Amino acid sequence: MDEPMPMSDEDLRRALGALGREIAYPGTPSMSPAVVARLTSERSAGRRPPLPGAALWSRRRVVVLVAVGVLAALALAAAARLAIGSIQIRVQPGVTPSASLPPVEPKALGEPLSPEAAIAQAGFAPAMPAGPTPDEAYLVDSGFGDPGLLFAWRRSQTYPALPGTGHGMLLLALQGDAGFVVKTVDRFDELRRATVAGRRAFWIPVPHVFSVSTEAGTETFSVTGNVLIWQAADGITYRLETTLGRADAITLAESFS
Amino acid sequence: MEGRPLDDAELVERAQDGDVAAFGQLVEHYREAAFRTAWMITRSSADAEDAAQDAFVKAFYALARFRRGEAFRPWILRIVSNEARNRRRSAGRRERLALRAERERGPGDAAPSPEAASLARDDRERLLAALERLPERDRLVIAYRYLLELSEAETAEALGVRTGTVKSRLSRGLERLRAAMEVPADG
Repeated sequence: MDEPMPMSDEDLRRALGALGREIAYPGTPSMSPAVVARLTSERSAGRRPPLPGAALWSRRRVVVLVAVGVLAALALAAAARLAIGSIQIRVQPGVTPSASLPPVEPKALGEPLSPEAAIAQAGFAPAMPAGPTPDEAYLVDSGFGDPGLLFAWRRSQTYPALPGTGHGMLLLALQGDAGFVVKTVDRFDELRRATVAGRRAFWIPVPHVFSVSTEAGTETFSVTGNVLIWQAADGITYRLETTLGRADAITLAESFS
Repeated sequence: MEGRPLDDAELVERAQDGDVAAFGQLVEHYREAAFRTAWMITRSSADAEDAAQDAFVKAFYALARFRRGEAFRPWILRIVSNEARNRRRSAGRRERLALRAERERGPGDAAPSPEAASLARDDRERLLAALERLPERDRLVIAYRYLLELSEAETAEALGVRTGTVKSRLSRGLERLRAAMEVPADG
């Protein structure tokens, strides 16, 4: 009997493709009712967050804060898509700031860690300003990209309290260039371009607001300090919120090592 | 209800806002691909059903990480594959790949393609048997790409590897499949 000729790759691909339509797969069960029933039951019993991603939401607020800075920096009046370092923002202006808005509370990110522990968990070590070391640190897992870090300094003589908070300075460090998309609405009173060690930066010296849409509607917070945003030579994007004035904040940013 | 059916992006957006019924429609769209993908790994109908169902539930709660504009199918198939791999260890008897009997073809089923018709049933059985003898890594990449007709990108996503790895595994897998076809099956 003649041996069959080996099939070429192309013949094999065609034969396999045809075979796929001839396979006796087990019948596909109807899954949708069971999945919907499970989701409904788990959510109503409170065993799961009420919305997909709701567990991540509080962590995202920090990212939103950064977004506010960038938006303010660019002072766009119309919807736009912007980027600086690891941040991408979609702008939807329209919200009016109000004095009754709550300030951002870092503990919304979870339990504070020591700076060393947070750096170890995040897997990168941002530069730090000269002067007092941070009192607390928080891991920022946005769910979109690499984790970031938020460092908090308690109010002190060096860093007077940010209005309405117990903190004197907040520093957010984000690595990489993964885009964060944030829906937010803001009003910007003033914006200044700046440079930190020769690199592009933005200085936002006025209180501003930001909004996040959640299942409960739109939640709005106030940012009370002055904000400096820049991307350093190491690729890390920094957002510094402080009561310092522009010159002192830039001097502090340039002391990072 | 009036109106056009919602596309995946709209359903995902609604589901992200907590609309479980919209997510149910996504499940309906992808249940067959999900079940068969899981079955290729577990080779147990019961485990494949559990894996696919659990994967859909996990996917719902992970929707916040789903990027707008991304394709839903490869994303869900990756979650399904992970669930199926986690369940495989508990699987008992493995169900085998088999051809549909001619008599199982219903009046609504398409006639065999010209390629299938040109490949004698014995040859198809031989091809299936050879496929079953391949190491799992080769078998899965071939099954995903050609039997389930996933794209290279979807195959890569489902296997958790790069597209380049899929290409190289496919190339090696076809070579081994050809060699396996030349070896008579046991028995």
